[in-house]
Amino acid sequence: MACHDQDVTLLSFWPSPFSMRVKLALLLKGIEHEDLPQDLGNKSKLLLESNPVHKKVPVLIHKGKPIAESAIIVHYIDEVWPGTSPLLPQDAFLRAQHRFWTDFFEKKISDYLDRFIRSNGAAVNEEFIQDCLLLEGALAELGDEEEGPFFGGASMSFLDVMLAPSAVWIPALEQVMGLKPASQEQCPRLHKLFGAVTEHPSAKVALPQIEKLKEFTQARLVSK
Amino acid sequence: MSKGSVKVLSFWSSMFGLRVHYALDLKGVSYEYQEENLFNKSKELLEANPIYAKIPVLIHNGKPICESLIIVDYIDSVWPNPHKLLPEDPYKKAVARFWADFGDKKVYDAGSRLIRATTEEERKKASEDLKWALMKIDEALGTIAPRKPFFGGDSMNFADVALAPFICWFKGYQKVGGFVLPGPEEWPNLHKWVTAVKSVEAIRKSTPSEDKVAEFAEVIRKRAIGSA
Repeated sequence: MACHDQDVTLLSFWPSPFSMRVKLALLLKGIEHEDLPQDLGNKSKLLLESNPVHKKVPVLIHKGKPIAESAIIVHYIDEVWPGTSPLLPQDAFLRAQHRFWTDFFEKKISDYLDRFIRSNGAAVNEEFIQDCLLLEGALAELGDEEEGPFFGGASMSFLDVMLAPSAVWIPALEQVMGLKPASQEQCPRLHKLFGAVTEHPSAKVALPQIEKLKEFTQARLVSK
Repeated sequence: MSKGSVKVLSFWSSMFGLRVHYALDLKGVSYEYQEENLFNKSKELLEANPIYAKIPVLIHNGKPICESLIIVDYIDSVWPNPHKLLPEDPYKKAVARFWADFGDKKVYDAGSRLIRATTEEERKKASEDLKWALMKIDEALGTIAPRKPFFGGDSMNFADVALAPFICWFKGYQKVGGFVLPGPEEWPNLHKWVTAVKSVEAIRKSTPSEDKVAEFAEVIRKRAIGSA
């Protein structure tokens, strides 16, 4: 069910995994929105006014009011448009697990990927594979394999949306910069999850193609 | 009121631990408290938080929840009344979450770097960052809840609970990092907020003495210098 006159604008940056999360949430819920790509090297007045504290993307502007920080935005989207494709679980404890593993991913995996990129692939993290394995363990615990490949079973849930950008970023970093993530043998369910993400109709629109991300990554390497 | 057994594993001076105490005490939830020795962590803590082995942990009916803001969110869901912490309005809720998150990203980070700084350059940068962060909070209070004491208006909300624990560390930041909090003429909203928070009985219940915290900050600093 598409929502029309909701006055929703997304200040985006296509390679940003945080921006991708919000785009994906909007598409999963069929929320019509205006997507305004931002030039991060020359920040717009709108961006600086909408996110004066962090001056970052993504920002969601709904009925003139800005919301920043991707996890907070996705929570907001889920609360304002609860009907279609609900993302946060109903159960309080399960909700806490989704938030915990989102936070784990950001502290441990996302942070390392960031350092890996900034160091031109030099940054080493002996814990990286271990962290992937812990995430695999979380999926085994929280996701019912019989229902489907996602943490949410057959459909994507909050944690799936938070992790989805890795489905394109990790292969891009692997192929361009030699990142060594966990293998399919080590993390079979995560591999299946990311495969399902790339096949998902909403994710196909929300996430850039791996080739495009590879070009982007390659270009940044050369310019250093 | 009773919704099963509630146990908190924490450490007396931890700002993250204090958030959990504040949330439970504001709601009048009874709980068992276990003080952890961070140099000799209990088996219970290691089992409850195998990923990080950190406090605080909330154990509700035997099930552990970790990470302070996640715990406070959980507490607010299970015990919504009295004293609901997250506003019902989705936008106001997002604003409260934003400032709680800001506390972690900007205030805690700068304060932590301030205490552990080994060079004057590091100390100065951390001090400037901390000042900037607290200035933003002063501004936010003026914008979000003008003429009201708390982010939540007349009573503390999720953002207030997330940020309140820093108050008892200001003396430590001053003693160890030379950070001087600008006065009420410069930051009227922040000072009004500090006074209001300190007057809440539920907050006073578990807040440690600022002098004790300052001594502890000194200990952390010595260890940081020692290992540099």
